[in-house]
Amino acid sequence: MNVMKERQHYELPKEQQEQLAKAKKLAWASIFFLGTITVVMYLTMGSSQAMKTAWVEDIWSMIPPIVFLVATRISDREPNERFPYGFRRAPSIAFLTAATAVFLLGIYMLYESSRSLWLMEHPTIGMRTIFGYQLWSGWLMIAALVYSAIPPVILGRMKIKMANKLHAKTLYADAAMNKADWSTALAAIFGILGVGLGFWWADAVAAGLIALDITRDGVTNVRQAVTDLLNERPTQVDSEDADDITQELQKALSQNDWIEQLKVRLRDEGMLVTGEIFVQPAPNTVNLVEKIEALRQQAKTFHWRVYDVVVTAVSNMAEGST
Amino acid sequence: MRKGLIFGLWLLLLGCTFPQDPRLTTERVQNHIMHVGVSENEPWVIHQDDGTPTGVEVDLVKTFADQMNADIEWHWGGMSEHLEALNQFELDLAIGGLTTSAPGTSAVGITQPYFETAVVIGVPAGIPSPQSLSDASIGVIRGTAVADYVRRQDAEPLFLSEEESIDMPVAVPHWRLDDLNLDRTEHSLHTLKHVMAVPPGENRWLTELEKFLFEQPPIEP
Repeated sequence: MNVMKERQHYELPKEQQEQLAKAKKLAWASIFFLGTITVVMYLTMGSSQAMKTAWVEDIWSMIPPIVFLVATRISDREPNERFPYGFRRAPSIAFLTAATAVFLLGIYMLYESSRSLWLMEHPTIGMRTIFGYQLWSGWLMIAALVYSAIPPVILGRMKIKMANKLHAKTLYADAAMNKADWSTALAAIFGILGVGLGFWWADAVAAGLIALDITRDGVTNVRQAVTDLLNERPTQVDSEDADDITQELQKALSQNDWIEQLKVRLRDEGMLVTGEIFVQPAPNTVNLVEKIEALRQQAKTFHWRVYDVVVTAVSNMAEGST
Repeated sequence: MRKGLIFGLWLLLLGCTFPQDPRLTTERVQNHIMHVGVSENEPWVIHQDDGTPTGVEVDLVKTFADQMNADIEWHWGGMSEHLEALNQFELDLAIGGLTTSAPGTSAVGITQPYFETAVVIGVPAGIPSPQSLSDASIGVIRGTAVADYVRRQDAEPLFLSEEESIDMPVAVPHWRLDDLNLDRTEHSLHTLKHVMAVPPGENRWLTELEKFLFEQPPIEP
């Protein structure tokens, strides 16, 4: 006999499905544009430390959308006997790994730029022949950097809208990083112009600032992924503040007459909210099983994000054991 | 506020020469003295009996110095020594048949390639051009650094000394064919890019040199 009761499969409502489809398209667009940016930057970066750091940041920027696409597919898989809770944790694990990698990368790039400064390495930026004309490489680098700022900022704005609608935190984090890409490009441009004006250290300083930014992204995302895996209470998309859904669900469910007291224990699982509901029924309540099932249904239909809440009855809410 | 900043920057750039030298090499050299490190390497740099240099790169540098209205002080030595001296800002320029494949060029400033050497296979009169290079025996004059290019084609380098008379296909730079009485075959093994070296980060100096080299007529070593 199959003793495991697997979780039910989850279907997003129509509107959210459409949003998700759009979000996936944006993820593909991001990967494409970041790919072109990576190539353009690689061809022009020469010996500029700032450009190299910005290039590394752009490569890392391709990872969140890839994680998003792969993870939405995995997390949608039906729970089975081996994985009765399903795969809704997969995105968080992937994100934690990626965020840790980027944190270490940021530290390394910070070391590289500090070393450059310490060793007083003067970046050499000479001429380049393009279509038979000679041009100072710095101008080509700046052009590449300007290009590198445009698609991410536009895509970032679009993705933030999606993230808010879908309550997708990883998408939000990705979008926020994209939106800030203009500051990376600006720092690198000032670095190159600085070198052009004779300030050899400008490039290394710009590289250091960009590396700090990368490190900070790493830290933020590691924290996000860790709190998520620690089953933190549901939070807003863009901050660590509590999401209203916890209070609202508790209030809505407590309306039932037969309930003396009701408390919830919820957590975020990707876009969804799940958890347990503790009910202390009024004394002599009849048809308790039916009432509990009705309560479960009520929770499910309360908000599209609510998934697989388990309702349990307790004799006394105050008791420590439950 | 942001517009003002950008405009100000544009004015600043317009007013100054761009790019500039952190250590003012161009200003120091112009109308004064250019310190050039030379390393013997025919036909690029040749050490004459009276101690003065001549050669393809020497001629180029002399013309450049004229343009800069500077006298030249030649400093003989090995190339790695010169590269280190450039790094320490003791020399303004170093020449000696330097190519992009030479070691030690990453720490100094390097011009864009001003000339390309094709490493080709030449045959003396009467010897046929090899059909396929796979497992073929190709002559390599010891010390000319072309053996690897031969090996990459799955051929076997056979080392010859400079004086030997040649009776087999040989891998040589294309401009030595006439010299050695060889006919060029269709086989081209590699392209070497010739550059000159300057101190690191002296970007105005480097771009002046690069502009000069770009304007020169094609070279025939």
